[in-house]
Amino acid sequence: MSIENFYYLNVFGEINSVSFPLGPEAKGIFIKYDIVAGDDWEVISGVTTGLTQCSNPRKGHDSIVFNMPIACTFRFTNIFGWPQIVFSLYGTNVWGTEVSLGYARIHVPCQINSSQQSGLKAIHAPIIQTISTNIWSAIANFLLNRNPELREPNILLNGMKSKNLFTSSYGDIFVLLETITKGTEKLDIYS
Amino acid sequence: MAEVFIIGQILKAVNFCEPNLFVCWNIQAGSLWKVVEGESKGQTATDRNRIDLVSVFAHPIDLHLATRGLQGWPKFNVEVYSVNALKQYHPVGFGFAYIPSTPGYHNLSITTWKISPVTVLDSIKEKFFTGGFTIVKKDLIYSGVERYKILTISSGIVEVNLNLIFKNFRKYDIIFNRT
Repeated sequence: MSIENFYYLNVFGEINSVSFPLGPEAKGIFIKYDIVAGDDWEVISGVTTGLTQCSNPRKGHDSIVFNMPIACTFRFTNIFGWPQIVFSLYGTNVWGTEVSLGYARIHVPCQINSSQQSGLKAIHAPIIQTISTNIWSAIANFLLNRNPELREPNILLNGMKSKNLFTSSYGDIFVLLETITKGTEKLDIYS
Repeated sequence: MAEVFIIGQILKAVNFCEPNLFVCWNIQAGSLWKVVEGESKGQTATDRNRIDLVSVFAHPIDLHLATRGLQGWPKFNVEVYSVNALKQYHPVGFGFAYIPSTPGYHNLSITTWKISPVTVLDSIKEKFFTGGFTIVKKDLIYSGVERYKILTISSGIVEVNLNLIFKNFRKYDIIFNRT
């Protein structure tokens, strides 16, 4: 395959903040993010995974600021498998143990030869927490003030694997992302 | 062949009376279309919000379609189900929307309907989240030919965000509206 057949996608931005409308249920909240793309995608620069600082909200404010940079460049041959980002939120509960506060997922903004003006996308992604369906584990989790976790958060990125999962949604995560593509101009691609 | 990439998510289901919902979705197109990669149907997780009466899914969709003709433009069909405390489920909404004909970002709000309860007993059963009728022929959701005399009641809205990428449309002289 010749070099012209590659397209390039540069994604950069930040995890701006997280907000819980009735306040967080843990302290020292941190986020692990993971950028996952399809088989025809290759990372050529930047990191696809990272961990933020442990952040607390100010008194009287419900948003928890992270201002965590994300930057990554992909080389791809196929639009299918467009990169997604999965966020896993953790915090320290009243017993001092680290617990899961839920997950969020987004697609990287999808613009190729776009006529839309601004490249900056402000994305509010809902935070989704898994809940236990078994009443005994629900009671145990309530007493220990912890939440069930996904062993593999990447199943949220696959539409076929979330069946039979019970979740409850609370709060959202605010992400700012910009994208630049290269190599798609000569092609008959529009978005 | 002209190609369409559908990238997006089923964001949430709003305005439903029932708390625990999941959505069965599928993208259906005419016989000239074929799925190259990706899943054209699926089922979301069962969600309920902790504060509002809304179910948030953020369920990913990534699909690559190719077509030899424009007939049978793809449709997005949804069936919304409610799960009660006994883990029984029943349908609470059916709806469809055509995939938009312009590339770019689109926000679809799919309004849904369900089969109306006929007798008083049925409506009591439905009030306690144990009843609800379903339709035997699922093609009623997306076709308009046999809908007469079906008594329905309006239900909530499913919000879907889609990014569409069109490839090789100019090459085959297909004109679409640029936004």
